[in-house]
This record gives sequence, C-alpha cells and structure tokens, in this order.
Amino acid sequence: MEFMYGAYSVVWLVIFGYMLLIGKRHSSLKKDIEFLKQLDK
Amino acid sequence: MSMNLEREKASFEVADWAPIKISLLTKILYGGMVVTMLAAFYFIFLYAEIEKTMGAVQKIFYMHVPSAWVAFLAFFVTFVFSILFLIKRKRIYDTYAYVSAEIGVVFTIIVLTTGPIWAKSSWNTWWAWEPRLTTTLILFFLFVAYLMVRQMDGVWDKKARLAAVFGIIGFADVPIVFFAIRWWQSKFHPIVFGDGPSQQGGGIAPSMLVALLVTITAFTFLYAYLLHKGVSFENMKLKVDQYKEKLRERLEN
Repeated sequence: MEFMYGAYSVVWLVIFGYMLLIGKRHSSLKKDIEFLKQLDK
Repeated sequence: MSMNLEREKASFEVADWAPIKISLLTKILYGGMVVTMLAAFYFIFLYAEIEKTMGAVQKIFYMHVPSAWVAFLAFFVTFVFSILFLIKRKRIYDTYAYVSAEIGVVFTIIVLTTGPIWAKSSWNTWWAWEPRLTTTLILFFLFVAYLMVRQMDGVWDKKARLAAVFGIIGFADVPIVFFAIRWWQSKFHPIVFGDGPSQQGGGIAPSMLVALLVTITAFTFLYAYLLHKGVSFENMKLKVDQYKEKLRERLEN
C-alpha cells in the first residue's frame, strides 16, 4: 500500500512542481511587462 | 543565418500585452482536465477492481501507463513540429516543438519514478537493465539533451534547427521503447496487450480498462492544457524580448 501512496505522491509532486515552475515564469514575465509599461509612459 | 526565416512582427503596443488573457480554449481545456481527472480518481479507486496477485499496488498502473502515453504523444508532437519547422521555418512550429518536448520530459520523469516504485514492490528490485527500462532512460536523456540545446547561447534559429534535428532523431526511440518488450526477451516487464517472443499478453479486466481509458483521457487534457499555456507564454515572452530590443535601440540612438 505504501508503494502506491509513494507513487501517487511522486506523480502529483512532479505535475504540481511543473505547474509551479510555469507560474513562476508567468509572474516573472508579468513583472517585465509592468516594468516596460512604466518605461513606455 | 537562414534567409527564409519568418521574421516576427512585434506589435510593440504595451497595451496589447496587459491581459495575458484566459482564452475560451484555456477554459475548455482546464474544465475538461478537472472533470476527467476527478472521474479518473473515481474509476481508479472506487470502480476498478483490485488486482488479485499484486493488490492495491497495481493501481500505480493507472498513473504509469497514461504518463508514458503523454510522453510518447508529446515527443510525437515535437517530431511533427520539428519537421514542419525545418520545412516552413516558422517560429511558431519551433515553439510548439519546444514546449511539447519539455512536457514530454516531465512525464518521462513520472514514468521513470513510478516504474521503479512499482518494480520494487513487484520484482523486488528498483531497477533492472532490461529493454523497456533501458530504452526509456535513453529516451529521457535524448530529450534532456534537446532541452539543453535550447538553453545554449547563440542565435535562436541555429539552436532551433539543431533542436529540430534532435527532436526528429529522439522520436526514433519512441517506437523502440514501445516494441522493446515485443522484440527482445524481457523477464520482468509484462506485456498487457498482444503477445511477445517470451510471453503472452494477459489483458486486463473490463473495469480496469475503463479506468485506464478515463485516466488516459484526463492526462491528454492535462497535456493539451500545459501545451496551450506553454505556447501562449513563449509567444508573450517573445513579444517582450522584441520590445526590450526596440527600447534598447531607441535609447542608444
């Protein structure tokens, strides 16, 4: 049973880890856009 | 530098960037993913019967196989868009190939971690150098190399061409991974569907097949959602980079 829990934990850890990475990239891009907006004014 | 590359025309309107809009397609893919994922958990834990020999640990199968399916699909998409890129030289094809390869690597990591966990329980060993496992590991390294090519310094189109070649060659390993247990003798890895040289496919119970198909659908939605998000993000990043370049030129003059 513990093997099953371990495997399912790994699956969702990897998927959410990747989603978190995408989210981080997204917020960094948002910051860039905000900065460029200020610069453009 | 190739002359026939499509040069991107940036709109240079900051206002255009403001909404990284949540499109209708994103909503559909996200909704489809959530609904099918919930259904998958229902079918895995409440509907599918528990396998008699292995017990509950067999349920790893419902994450392991769909992850492998998504990895193969992702590398196939990379293969197709790499060919399209080499023919048409449009950046959007390169973007699709890159994002898909990245998702493929993520799902190969899942395959390569859930596999050994299952193996430890069923074969009493974490790893065996048998055909399926070895070819999957090679596939993983090929596409890690693909992503490393993308991170190199240099002009993007040179990197993109090199990566496209990597993407095409790398995909050649996918059918090898799939047929490995059918072509070569494998003591460990079971054949579920079809027959091999040393074993016959055992098949699975109808309830297990339903759970597997629902999970594959859920993972395919997840892949499509991640691909769509990734491509939108890369396009937006490209616009930002172009605008930065334009600003730099303006400041220098």
